[in-house]
Amino acid sequence: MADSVNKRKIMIAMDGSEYSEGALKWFAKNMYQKDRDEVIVLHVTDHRNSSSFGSNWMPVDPTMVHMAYKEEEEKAKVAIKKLDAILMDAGVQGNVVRAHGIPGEQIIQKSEELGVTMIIIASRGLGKIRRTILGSVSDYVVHHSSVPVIVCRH
Amino acid sequence: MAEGNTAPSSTGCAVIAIDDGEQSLWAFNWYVTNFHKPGNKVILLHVPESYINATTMSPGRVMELQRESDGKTTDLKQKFIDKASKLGIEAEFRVENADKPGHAIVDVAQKENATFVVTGTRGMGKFRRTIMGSVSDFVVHHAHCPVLVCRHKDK
Repeated sequence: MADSVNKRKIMIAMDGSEYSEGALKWFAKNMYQKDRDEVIVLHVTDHRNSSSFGSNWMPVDPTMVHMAYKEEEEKAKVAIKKLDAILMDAGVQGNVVRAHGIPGEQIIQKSEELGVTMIIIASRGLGKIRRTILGSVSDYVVHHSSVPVIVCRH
Repeated sequence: MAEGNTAPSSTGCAVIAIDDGEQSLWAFNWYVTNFHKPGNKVILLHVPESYINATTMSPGRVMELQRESDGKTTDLKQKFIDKASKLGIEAEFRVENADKPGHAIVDVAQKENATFVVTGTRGMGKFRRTIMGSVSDFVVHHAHCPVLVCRHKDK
């Protein structure tokens, strides 16, 4: 008896790190089924780095904050373009979606909004510049997601 | 020179961690519905709880507990083999005895060269000396392959 293969809506969280790229490539090689998968690549821009420009003791120069914000936006645009290219290279048909805010929370929120079947996330991300601890976003997602999560560790 | 295997490596090996909890059955079902690719080898791995302490318990009690545990394992095996045949997939039910389930799961995945490991987020909680979720946490951080954490939002 042939089972009707159900469609999958797969969200891949990508922050531009090579680890998230590795996760996408793993997905493309081992999981991707063109006819049944709708792929959404989610990129979250975290503006916490730019909004708390300066220290607690000195008043923040608004123009500096604005500049830092613009810089983050530019970096994000570059990252998005790169994600489109990576998707094409991997032979995956997908849409890149942007979100703003705290990465873990945004991933959960968007995954629920879009009603995804599963989330794919690398265990590490851009650990160098960010103040987050390596793996904290994937940990957060695993513990708060309402759908299964695949954590890719390489 | 002709290559022996011309097909791309699209078949994999899934190691699914099973315990007595309800989540295991749900995870297995979810895996088959949303994840399984025909040709994938499926290993249902069960690491029984080992709260039997031979040094502090009487031999009779140890034997009694062992028999209970074996009985539960057999029931579990039957349940999953039945489920697998109903879903129409070939699965191997394997039992590993180990103090630390996390380590055992990671080891089996390594030996079998698994494509991914499937775990739940909650375990038994009653007799385990572990905190809920610590096995899945360990597996996520130590497996050499991606880990599917089958999270089921409780109603």
